Amino acid sequence: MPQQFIAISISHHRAPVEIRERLQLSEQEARALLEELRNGEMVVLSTCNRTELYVRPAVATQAEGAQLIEQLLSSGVVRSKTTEVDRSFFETYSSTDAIRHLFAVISGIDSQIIGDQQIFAQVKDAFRISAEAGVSGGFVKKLSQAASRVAKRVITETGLNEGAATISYAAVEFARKIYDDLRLRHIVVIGAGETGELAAKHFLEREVGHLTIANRSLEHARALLERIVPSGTKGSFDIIGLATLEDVLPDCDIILSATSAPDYVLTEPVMKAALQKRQSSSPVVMIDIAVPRDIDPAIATLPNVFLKDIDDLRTIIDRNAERRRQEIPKAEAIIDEELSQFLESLSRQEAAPTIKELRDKFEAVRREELERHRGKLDERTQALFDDMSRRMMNRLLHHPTISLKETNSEAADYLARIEVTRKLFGLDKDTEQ
Amino acid sequence: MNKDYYSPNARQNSRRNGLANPKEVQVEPHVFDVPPVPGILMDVLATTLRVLLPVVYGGLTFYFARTFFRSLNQAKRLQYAVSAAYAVLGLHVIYIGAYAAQNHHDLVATVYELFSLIAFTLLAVYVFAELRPSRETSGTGFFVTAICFLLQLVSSLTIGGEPVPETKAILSDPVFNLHVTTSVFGYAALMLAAIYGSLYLLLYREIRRNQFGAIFEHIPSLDRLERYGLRATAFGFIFLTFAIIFGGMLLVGPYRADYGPNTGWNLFLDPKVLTTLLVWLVFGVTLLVRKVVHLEGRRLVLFWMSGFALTVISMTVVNWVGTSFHSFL
Repeated sequence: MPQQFIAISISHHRAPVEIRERLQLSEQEARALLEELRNGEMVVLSTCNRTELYVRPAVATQAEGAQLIEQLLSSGVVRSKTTEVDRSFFETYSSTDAIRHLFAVISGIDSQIIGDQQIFAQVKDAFRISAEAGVSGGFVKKLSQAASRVAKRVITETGLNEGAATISYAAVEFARKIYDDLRLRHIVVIGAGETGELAAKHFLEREVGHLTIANRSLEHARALLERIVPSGTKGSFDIIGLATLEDVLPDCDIILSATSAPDYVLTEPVMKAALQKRQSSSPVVMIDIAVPRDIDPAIATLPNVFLKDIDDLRTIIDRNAERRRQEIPKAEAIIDEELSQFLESLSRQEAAPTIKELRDKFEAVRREELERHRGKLDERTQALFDDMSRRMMNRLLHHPTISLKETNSEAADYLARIEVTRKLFGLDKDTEQ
Repeated sequence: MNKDYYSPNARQNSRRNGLANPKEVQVEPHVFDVPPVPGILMDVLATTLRVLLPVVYGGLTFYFARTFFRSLNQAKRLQYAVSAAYAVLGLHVIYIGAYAAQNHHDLVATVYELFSLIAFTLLAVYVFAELRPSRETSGTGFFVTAICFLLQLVSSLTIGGEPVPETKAILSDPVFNLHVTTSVFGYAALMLAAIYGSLYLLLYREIRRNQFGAIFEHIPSLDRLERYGLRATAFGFIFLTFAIIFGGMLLVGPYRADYGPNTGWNLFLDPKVLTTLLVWLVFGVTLLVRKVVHLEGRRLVLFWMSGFALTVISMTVVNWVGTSFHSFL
């Protein structure tokens, strides 16, 4: 039974986005890759920031990082997407390091945005795909459970995921600092581009009362609304053109603008007029995340208006990022703890077969040698040799057996120990034969 | 530990306060005449809780503060804090009962007794204004429990140190007790509304100035502060309404002679009564403009904060300068 576990990774740490996007795999492509490489237990994780392959090969001798990179790059799935990738973009991990790397990835400390929670779901998806593709065994299942445990503990026991980390999310969180119950509010998102879409999605995650998408092109606005609002979503949703924006302004509580317009979309006189028509005396939240700015900064001087632009929001994000960085040691401590527990439980499960195979092999050699000399010895001497060789074998195997069973915290790299034992005594070659 | 209402000391106090001779006041046997054994138990209970209450209020304040200043797992921690607040309230109710049995009057006879009652009412109103019915809380309990802790600490340290005006049979009158209790509840609710209002204005200013520091991070949304503040105002208004009604009932009750020469409806010209009516009116108008004119946000908060400022100023002036028949203590 092979003990090796290898991970190869191409991520934001070494590879630029143009390389990463070429190696990003869809769910179908990930399935196809697993099918093509099929070698023991495997997991493929592919996001916009990383593509990683975790393998516990059926045959240990095939488990070299460099070899795995070649297999990946020469696979049909990858060759159909890119022809040549510099090998130096890859990182390889083996044994305990590979497990630790997976734990770091799922906890979010290895993400480009530290504490990114999306990665948890992405790793879970990777394990699901592996199970559905039939390349997941006892080891990967155990690993999946341990990884989920790490992620959950990091979420609940550290502040690594606290606070907004992106502009669009920070914009929504800022709005919620004024109005926490969005179900009672009318929100207008100006602009149907990527940023506007992200912000609208974040608003929808919090349940909104009334969401209006205002855009120059009504088709784009309609398409965006159809994309982000699943049928049956509570609330009221509509689209308007920029020309009619002034009509809805007096009723709006939150206005978020993210267009690529070169001039101001909302000017101070327009907003002043809207405020005069406004029936409620509750504040108006205006968030401008466009560059160049969409909202006239003079509006900030109007009473009862909170206007914030991208620089203001960046202050919040930077503060959160710093706080998240300070939480990394806590997350690492959890990873160490869980890794130790995982190895301990794994050792209980995996050391036993290796010990058995090792003893079986020694016993076979002993019997073979005794058999070879059987004709030359009388019965008494045979019994003496039998007893002596057994004692010798037991004494020789005593320390390796104890060492393989050792599960205390000092034995952190126990996988490697099992691996070395198997290599030294050629246990895997016997399995292959 | 039965007190004699007709002791020489009582008579002396009575004359000093310009009240009728206590012998002339017919006092009905009341609920405080307890048999000796439960009396001893009540003594022990009251004394124990007097020591224990500042400790539990301190602990509650510490827990709320920890939860407030550390955002990690706030929701879960707040659930524990809410349960702890209920437990503290329960203990305080027992203390009030035991104290009444021990001293033959409610916590309304001296300033230091009132401190304890205010601590209790402030926490009770906070629990009802913010934590019910959804137990959704902003975590601002720290600001409330800190005040409660200080009040209870001062009360526990000083209670019993000053002479109890045992001559005043009115102190055992149920209507009088209801009048004082609802008044204290009313003012505690208004104090709570002022706490929310202050936090609202503080956060409003921080956001306007682009200062996204600890206040921005830890204080709940403006929306929520306004909601809780309004709830507290509503509570305050309701309790003050009852306080005024009970006060009116006292004017025509058996103790009207205790109010001195100013009897009859001209008592409504008393500075304290006038102040209470004014405060009651301001908060009533706050609720009315919220409902009718849809006044919201900062303007509404400024409205009720001005009401609170008026309360503080007028109470101070009345207590220092004016004279009032409201001097039972």
